[in-house]
Amino acid sequence: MTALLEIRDLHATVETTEILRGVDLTVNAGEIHAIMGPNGSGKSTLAKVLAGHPAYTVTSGEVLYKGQNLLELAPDERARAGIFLAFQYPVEIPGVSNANFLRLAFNQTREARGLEELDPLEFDELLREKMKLVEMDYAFASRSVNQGFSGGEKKRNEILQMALLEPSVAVLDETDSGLDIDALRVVATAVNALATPDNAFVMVTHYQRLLNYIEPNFVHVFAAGRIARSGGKELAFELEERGYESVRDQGASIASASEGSIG
Amino acid sequence: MKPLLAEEKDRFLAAWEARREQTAFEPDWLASLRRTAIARFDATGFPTTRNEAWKYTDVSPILKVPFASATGSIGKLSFAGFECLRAPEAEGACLVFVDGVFHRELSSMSGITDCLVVTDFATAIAEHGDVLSRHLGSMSEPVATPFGSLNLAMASGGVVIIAPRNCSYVAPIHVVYFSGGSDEPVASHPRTLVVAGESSNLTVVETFASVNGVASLTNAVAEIHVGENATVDHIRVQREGRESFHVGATAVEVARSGSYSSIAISIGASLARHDLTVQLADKGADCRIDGLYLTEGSQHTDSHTRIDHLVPHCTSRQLYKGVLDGDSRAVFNGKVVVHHDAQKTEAHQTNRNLMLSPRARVDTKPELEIFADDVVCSHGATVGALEAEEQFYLASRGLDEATARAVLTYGFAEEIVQEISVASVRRHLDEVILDRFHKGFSKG
Ligand SMILES: Nc1ncnc2c1ncn2[C@@H]1O[C@H](COP(=O)(O)OP(=O)(O)O)[C@@H](O)[C@H]1O
Ligand SMILES: [Mg+2]
Repeated sequence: MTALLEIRDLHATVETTEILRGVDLTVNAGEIHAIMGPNGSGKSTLAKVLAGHPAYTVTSGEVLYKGQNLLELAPDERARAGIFLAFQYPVEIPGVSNANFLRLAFNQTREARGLEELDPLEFDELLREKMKLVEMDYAFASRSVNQGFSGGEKKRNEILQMALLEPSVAVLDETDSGLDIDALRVVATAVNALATPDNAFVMVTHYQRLLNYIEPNFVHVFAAGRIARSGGKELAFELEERGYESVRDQGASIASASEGSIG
Repeated sequence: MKPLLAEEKDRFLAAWEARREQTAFEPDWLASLRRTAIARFDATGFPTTRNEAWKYTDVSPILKVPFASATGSIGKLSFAGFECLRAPEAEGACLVFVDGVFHRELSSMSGITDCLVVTDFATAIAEHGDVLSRHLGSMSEPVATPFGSLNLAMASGGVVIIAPRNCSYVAPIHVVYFSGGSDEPVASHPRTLVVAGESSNLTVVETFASVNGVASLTNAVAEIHVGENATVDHIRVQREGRESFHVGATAVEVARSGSYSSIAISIGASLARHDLTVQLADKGADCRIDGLYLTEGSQHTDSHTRIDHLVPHCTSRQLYKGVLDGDSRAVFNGKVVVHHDAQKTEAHQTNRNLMLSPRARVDTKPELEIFADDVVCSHGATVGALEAEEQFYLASRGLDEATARAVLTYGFAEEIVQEISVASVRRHLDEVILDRFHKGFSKG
């Protein structure tokens, strides 16, 4: 079986600085991966490189998505093919209503998948249903995209988009950061509801508490631009107790121990 | 050598002479105002680009056109044509002017309540001379300028709105100034006067429109007095045809705890200029002035604003946005002056320009002059393309590049339009920007 996502020795730079230094990660359908690691280690960079952010240059390595070279696709093509990034810092778009934006995104994705577009009324019905799932007030549909939303509301809006677009691989970049326990539960419920044997989730998180609600198959520790250690759920507990320092201390030996791909 | 634009000035002076007979019945105070104004215009003449305030806007193309005086005829135009200019919400108070001449049969004034005076200029001279003589031309800014002086000297049509104390009129009052009723190029000088008394509440929409294909000059002035604790919501839409010239000035004075909000839209005319000055004259006065200009082809639009914080504890907020395409040009000059005593002022000003074409050009100059020390002020201007992070965000949701650009351009303009409180005006502008920037992006 081909993996959904296969990242091999990925190196990426921003301007002239190398930030990703040999990332290896294999994600199969039906899996949930958690990526933890200190600030500045490159987790968001990995997420954005996967989504195709133009500020980053891949200098070597490869990323296969369903066996195809992901890196040659434009960001919008990746999205329509089923890659989704829930941003750590979602962008505000004044003047564009959330509902219009969501319908456009939804219909463009549907079209790419050979499905029929929904008209505004049909879409509205679906939108209401998905908003219930993420416990978002319907009033947010007519507001400008993310404008004036609180941190938590923005994160819910990301999850709402994920629920509508039904991606094959969803990367959630610290979606749980800054959320109170209720919001956290909402995010977890949505992820659990959307998880199927055919899709996969990669969750970047700082907090082991998220993993009380979402059962990951693998936990990876990111350090200095690469996956320094991988394990099961117990690794998250270890990190919680001993901190990232324990990982860093083990230095190069850990890095080499993680060479083999996971999954 | 003759001074620049002297001949052109002489033609306007001759037009003034020609209409003296018609104004013979006017009261002395008005006749004297007009004489002073025309003398001032005669002394200054039309501004040239050597004048700092007109540095980027050359008015000589306006003055090359031999404008006739208005007859006010609606010519071949149909009543139905005017119907679609009128905001249905303003059914109770909609006044329509053609080339500066009031047309009662195109207007409706059935909803005006006892407390409120909404009337045309000529009627107001006869019936409300006391209020008029106190307020007309009392604010120096629009009057002192050459075009403002010319307006005061020539104005025969316009609207006078007087809201007494505690008068709250919830529906909008709509004034339609339409130019180009005849096939000849016509110059008109409409004037709006709003006197909002203590604790009164008004929404005033001014629409400037004309047909394509006929040159016209609209030289408009509006004076707005916002009384103590009063609220005036002012929407000004300039959507004239592509052969027209538009010069407008709005002068506002806000009394203690009064509040003025303005949305000024400029999408029409070949050459358009709008000056807006707001004096925050007493404690707690507040203004919020927003603007949107959309230019394409060879259009030129110039927005000059000035806000004076004269006393402590006043607030102002300004957001002007422009979307420029083709070979068009825009000018933004926004001055905020915080005077010596005006402590605890809060003033924020932003001008943002989105350039859709490499040949378009904007000259933007936000100016902040602060003579008090305990204030919170900010100002800034941006000129550029669409935000890369916004484009990436939309792309990451599957929107192709062309669609993402269209959505963001639409949103850029819509941020101003969506603030318009009168639904039909908002919807119309929404259609205009959808049509310009995003044909396939229908509203759901
Ligand atoms: N666009 C960028 N320009 C410059 N530096 C960047 C950019 N994006 C990330 N970096 C740098 O790359 C490093 C990794 O950042 P990031 O991927 O955000 O880490 P994390 O998400 O793990 O906290 C940091 O040192 C950060 O400053
Ligand atoms: Mg990050």
